[in-house]
Amino acid sequence: MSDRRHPTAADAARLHADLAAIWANRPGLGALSAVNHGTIGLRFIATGFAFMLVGGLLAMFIRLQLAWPGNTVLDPQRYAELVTMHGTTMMFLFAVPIMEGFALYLIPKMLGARDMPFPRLSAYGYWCYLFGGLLLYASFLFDAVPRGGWFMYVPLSGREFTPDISADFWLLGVTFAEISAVAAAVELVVAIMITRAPGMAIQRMPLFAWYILATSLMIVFGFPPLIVGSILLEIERATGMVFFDPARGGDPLLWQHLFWLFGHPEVYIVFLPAAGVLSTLIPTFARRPMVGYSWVVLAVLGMAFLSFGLWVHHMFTVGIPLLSLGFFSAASMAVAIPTGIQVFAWIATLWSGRPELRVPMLYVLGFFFVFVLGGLTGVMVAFVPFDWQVHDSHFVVAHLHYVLIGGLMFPLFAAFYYWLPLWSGRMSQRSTAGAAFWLIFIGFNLTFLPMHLTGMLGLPRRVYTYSSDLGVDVLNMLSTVGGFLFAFGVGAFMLDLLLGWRHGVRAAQANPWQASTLEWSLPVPPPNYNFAGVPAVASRDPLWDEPRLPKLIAFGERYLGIARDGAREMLGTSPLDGRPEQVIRLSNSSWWPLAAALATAASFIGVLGSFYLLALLALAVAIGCFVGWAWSTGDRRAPDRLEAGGGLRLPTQYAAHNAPGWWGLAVFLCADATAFAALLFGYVYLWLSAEAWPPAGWPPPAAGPALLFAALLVASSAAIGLARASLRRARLFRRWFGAGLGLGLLALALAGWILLDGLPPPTAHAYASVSASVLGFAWLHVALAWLVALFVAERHRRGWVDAGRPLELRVAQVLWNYAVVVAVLAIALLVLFPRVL
Amino acid sequence: MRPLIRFVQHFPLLAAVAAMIVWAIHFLLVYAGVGLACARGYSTTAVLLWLATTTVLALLVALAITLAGFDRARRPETPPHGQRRRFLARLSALLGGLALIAIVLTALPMLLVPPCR
Repeated sequence: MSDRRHPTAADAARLHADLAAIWANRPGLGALSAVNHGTIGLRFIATGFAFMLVGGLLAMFIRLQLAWPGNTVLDPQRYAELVTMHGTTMMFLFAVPIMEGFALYLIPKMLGARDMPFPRLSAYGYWCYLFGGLLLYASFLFDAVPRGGWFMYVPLSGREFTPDISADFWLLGVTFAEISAVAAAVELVVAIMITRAPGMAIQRMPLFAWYILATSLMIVFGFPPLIVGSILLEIERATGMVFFDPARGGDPLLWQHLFWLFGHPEVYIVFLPAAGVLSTLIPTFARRPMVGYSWVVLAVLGMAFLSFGLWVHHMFTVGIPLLSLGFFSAASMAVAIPTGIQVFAWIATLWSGRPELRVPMLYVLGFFFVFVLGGLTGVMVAFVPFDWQVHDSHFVVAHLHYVLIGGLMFPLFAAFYYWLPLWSGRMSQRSTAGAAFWLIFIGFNLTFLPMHLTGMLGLPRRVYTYSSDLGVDVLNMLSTVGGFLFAFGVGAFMLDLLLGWRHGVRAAQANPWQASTLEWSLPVPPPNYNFAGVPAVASRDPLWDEPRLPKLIAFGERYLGIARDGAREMLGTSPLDGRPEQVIRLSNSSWWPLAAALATAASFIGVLGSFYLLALLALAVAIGCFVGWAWSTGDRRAPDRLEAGGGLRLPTQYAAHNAPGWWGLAVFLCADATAFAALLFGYVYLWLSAEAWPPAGWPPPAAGPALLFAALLVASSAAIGLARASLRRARLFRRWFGAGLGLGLLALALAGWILLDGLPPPTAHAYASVSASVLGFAWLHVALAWLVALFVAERHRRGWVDAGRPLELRVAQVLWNYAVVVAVLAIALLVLFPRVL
Repeated sequence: MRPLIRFVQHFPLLAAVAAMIVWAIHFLLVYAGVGLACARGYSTTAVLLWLATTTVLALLVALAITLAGFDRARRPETPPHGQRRRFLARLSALLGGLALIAIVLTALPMLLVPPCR
């Protein structure tokens, strides 16, 4: 640049060209190696939308079959399959991924960041999602379509009643998609915590970021119970170990608890991002800041926490004591408080603003009508006696569609219209958009309003036909007609969006909605790198309070208006106050994520088809891909500190305190710890319903080997700690680190021996199965930590890790200590629990 | 108590949501307690005692957090991080209020329904 303090237009143009070259995706098929958040976000959105259409098509068949009694469009098995796939598709392959796509696309832009902090992880997450969905639908090709309902209750989905591999398609396909969700969640938490624009302190974050932060943390804590449950069910089906079969000490309710521990937070995970869209649109269209920012944050965090206390309200009829049901009934009503606070904040903002009925607002108003109705029926079913009347009837179908379609789909459609000008520069017309909206609104209500009545008249869920005696013939026909109307509406919406994209009115200005959030400061369409210059932010509504920002950004102000070394760089800031702390160097396009996802998919397919050799080989390849991926991070030639603009020289992430890798590990360990807790919950739950623990004849695991195992691990931890302390003296470091590795290996061998020899045969009784699972979990984690430590040892040997760049060692040490804690807890449980209780 | 408070204050975001964590722990203790008691056949008195004790303790802690939050939020904003501190204190107080309501609502059934039926 010619003169840093007064960049010229030519300088700005050169900066943009340089950045564009660095951030460009590879051409042609090379685009499959893209990792930047814009591309990945759009892929999530497009794929999610496609799955929505497929799920909708399945719904059309369901409605066709139910149009009149005794219909024969679908036979009972096919009907069960389509109902299962409709629910599974909508919940796992549409609702969560599409909002993840919006989050991946918008969060960096709203936060003033160039990209997400782990671009290759985003890409890996996308491929896992796509392959998981394809795997699930491949079941049609093998005539093994899952048919146990979207929640796959045991014993129906156990080996006895579902002997074919349909349930395994579900378990593996859904687990694959969930890995994607957890990966994205980890990344979004890190992005929101440490990559905000300088000056964007936590109380200045756009509300959408608070919603996504809460949602991501809910995914981190809410998905693992289902992942654990799915793995346990898969193990039970594949090996004959027992967790859910009461004949050998299992309990089918354990599945229900694990599923709904996930399942209830899941619906809030679906709703919150959409509510975040509303909290973004409403202030824009009311042309004033949101009323009660703190109250909205209260509502978001309140909903996030309380939603974890509701899960048994899906199990009100299983025979749990009334007092216990009472807790969940109370909590289910309590969650209406923060939900209501949020709605009142929206109403207050519209009331005290100067709202205008632009196209997105149509869907916002539609949301208010539909979601509030759904919320009211939700409070109705929160009352245990009422729920006992309508459980498993179409009343619940009505409720869930009102809250999900009202709470997710309407805001989603609003979001499409709202951000269309950002991406395409064109806007939709009110006339055509209005027509599509009314078709959708009327069609939806015509479909689902009658179901409140049919449910109360006694029409159960998931039945493939019904008797005329029930008196619901006309209502069902109405629902089917409404369903087709609804489908036409969605088609009209798609057409309208397409027309708007291609032929819509050109937005007269940048920021056509006059919004206040940073994504509207970008050129249209936004370049891959978003911001040529990372702005400094001083308020909650940066574009309203600092109208010069777009110009400053375009001219490379204030930070990182530099293109160097062909490197993709972004700024890292402190979690609470947004003080610039580090320059984060990101990955360029890479094939590792796709390769790793393919290997993971092959491994899952191996398990599915019982080709266990293939599964193991593919797993080894996947691990190899992860090693290659990890090895390619870092740059030995990079300087310790980098010029960051604005007069700052900042460390790179390898030397920074709040490094993305450290944060990513911390958030991931929260998810992992939740999985461990879910497994321990399973152990205690099975103990509670057992007559004797261990069952008659078996001794608890011997204390001696267990104590030795724990001692070896604690010693290994100490050795690793000493190694870290002597990082400046390479010889000493290698000695201590080697000692740690050796002790760890001994511990692994001992644990293997205890697993194989110190416990009763795992298939004999649930006690043995769950004990083996707990110890197996611990073994896997110590093994993983050991592999990571070996990796870091080699990295140190080759000069990638030293006292000045200790990040990888920090990560390895935290992971090691975590694994040790898990393993010690596991062995303590196995040895002490049967003796003490 | 002091070192615990100091530890939590090191993680201001955690401190802000502390009252909801108290609610969660109370909920867990209450639900697990009743589940255990009913499976093992403990007496009604024991169950009610457990419920009452955990509820009172939870309410006291949540109340302390709420009041501390309101108190902190009233202090004048001092740069450089005064705005942020005030916001988080306010959030802590508001979430504290919600937690108090939620704890009371959660415990209310014990006055209405006998355990283990």
